[in-house]
Amino acid sequence: MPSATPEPPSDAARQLFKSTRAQGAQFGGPPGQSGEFYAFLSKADFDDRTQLWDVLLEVVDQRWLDNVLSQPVEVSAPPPRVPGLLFHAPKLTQQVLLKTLGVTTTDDVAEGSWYLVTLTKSSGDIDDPELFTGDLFDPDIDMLPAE
Amino acid sequence: MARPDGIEGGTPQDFGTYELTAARMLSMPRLLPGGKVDWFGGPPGEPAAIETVNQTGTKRARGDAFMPQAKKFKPVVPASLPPPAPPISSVGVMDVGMGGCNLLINQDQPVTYYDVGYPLPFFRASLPPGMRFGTPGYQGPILENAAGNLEVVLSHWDFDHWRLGHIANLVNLPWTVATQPVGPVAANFFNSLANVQLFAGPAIAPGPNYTICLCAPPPGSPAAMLLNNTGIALQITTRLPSTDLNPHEVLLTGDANFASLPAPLNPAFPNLAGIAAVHHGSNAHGAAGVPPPLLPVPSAVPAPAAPGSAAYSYGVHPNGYHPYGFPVPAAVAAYTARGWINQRSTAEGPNINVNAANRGSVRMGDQTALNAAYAGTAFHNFPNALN
Repeated sequence: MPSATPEPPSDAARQLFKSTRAQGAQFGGPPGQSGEFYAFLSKADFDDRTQLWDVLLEVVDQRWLDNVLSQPVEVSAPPPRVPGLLFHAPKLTQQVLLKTLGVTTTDDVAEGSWYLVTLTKSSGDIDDPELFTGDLFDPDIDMLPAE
Repeated sequence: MARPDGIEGGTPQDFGTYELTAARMLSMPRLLPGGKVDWFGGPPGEPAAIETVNQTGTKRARGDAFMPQAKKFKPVVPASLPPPAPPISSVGVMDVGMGGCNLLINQDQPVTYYDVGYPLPFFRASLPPGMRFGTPGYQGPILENAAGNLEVVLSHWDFDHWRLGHIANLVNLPWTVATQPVGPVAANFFNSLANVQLFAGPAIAPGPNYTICLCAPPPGSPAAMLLNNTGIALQITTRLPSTDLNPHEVLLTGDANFASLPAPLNPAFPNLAGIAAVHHGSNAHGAAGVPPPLLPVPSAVPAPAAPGSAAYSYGVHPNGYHPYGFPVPAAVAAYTARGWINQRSTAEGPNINVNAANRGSVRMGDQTALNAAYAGTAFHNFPNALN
C-alpha cells in the first residue's frame, strides 16, 4: 500500500535535476548577455520640430535566433514565440544615426532593414541626442497595470 | 531585473537605458526594376543580401525567418458565415493617441477596422483616458459588432498601426494584412492571429463595402520609403457631405503617399471628398503630396460649401509635446492649400497644432449615434464631425 506521504527525491535525483538546470545557465542572465542582437528597424521618424530622429528597433538575442531558427525546418506546430524586445531611441541627431548605422544618407535609413547590433548597458542620458541611447524593454510592458 | 532571456511567463520588464554601440547592416529593402521589392536586398553598394553563418555553417538571411507566411493551420470557421455587411455610411478616425485606427461604420454599427494602432509605451501619455490599458478608466475599443462580422484590414506592419490588436486581444477577428516583412515582436503577434489573410493583390480589389488598393511606390523611391508605401489602402464610397445624395469617395492610406496608389485611381482621384492625412500629418518623402481636391466633384456640391474633408490622427502629451513632431506644419499647410480645408484631428479637434482641448475621434459622413450596445467602449462617441 502506498505511503500517504510522498517520498522526497533522492540526493541522486536532486543532483541530476541540478546538473540538467545548469546546462541552461549559458542562456541565463539579463537579455542579450552577449550584447549582440539581430535588430529589425521597425520605425524611423524625423521630428521636424526638434530636428532629431526617433528610432524603434525590434531586437532578438543573436544566440536565440542562431539556435532556434538557424535551419529550415518542416513546421508541424505553431512557431515558437520569439523573445523579442524593443529598443526605442527617441532622440538622435542625424549624424549619430547615420554614423552608427553605417549609412551615408537618410534614404537608406529604411524601415524593414536588418542589422546585427551591439547593445551595452549605459548610464548615459536617453535624451542626449549625441548618444545612440534608448530604452530596452519587453514589448508587453504596456500591458502592466499603470498609474 | 535580470531575467533569463527567452523564458516565457515572467512579468514584462523595462531593462533601462542601453547604448547601441555597433551596428552592421545585414539587409535592406530594395525597389527592383518593374516595381517589385526585394525585402532582403543587400546593403548599399552590395548586390545581394549578406548571409550570416551560424555555428553549424548554415547560411541564410536572418530576416526571412519572420516573413509572414500563409498559415498552414486553417482557422476554425463557423458552419454558416454571417451575411456580408452593408455599405458604409461614415468613416471614423479614432482617437488612440499617437497611432492610427479607423472604423468603417454603417448607420449605428461598426463594420471594419482599418488599422488598430496604439502608441509606443514612450508615448502612452498621448492616449485618451478610456484607452489607457491597465488603468481603472480603461474602456477599450469595440470588440465585435452585432452581426458578428467585425473585421480588421491592416494598412502595414508599423507598431502604431497594429498594437491595439494585441492590447485589446482582437486576434480572433478576421484580419487582412499586407504581405510585408515584420520584426520579431510583430511576428509573435502575426502568429497569434486566428484568421488572417495575406493580401498581395490585385492592385485594386473591389468589395461590397470598400475597395482594397495595393500600394506601390513610384519608380526610384528610396529604401526608406518602401515599407510605408507597399501596404493596403482603402477607398470607401459614402455620402460626404452627408446631405448630398451623390456619394463620394474617402481614401485611407495609412502611412502611404497618394502617389503610391494604383491606377486608375492615381493620379485622377475622381470624386474624392474625404481623406485621412498621410502618416499622421508627416511630410517625409512626399507624404504631403496631396491629391487634387475634389476632382471632379458633382455639380450638386457647391464648391464653397463642400470643401475637402481631412482627418488627422496623431497624439499630444499633456505637456504639449507632439510625438514625432506630427503633424508637420508644412504638411498641414499643403493640405489646406490644395483645398482640404475642412480639417479635424483626433488630438486637437479643429485646433490643429494650436491646443489639445478638443480631442476625440473624428467621423466623416453620417453622424448617426452608434448603437447603445457600444456605449461602454471608448469608441462610442465622436466629438469631431466632418459632415
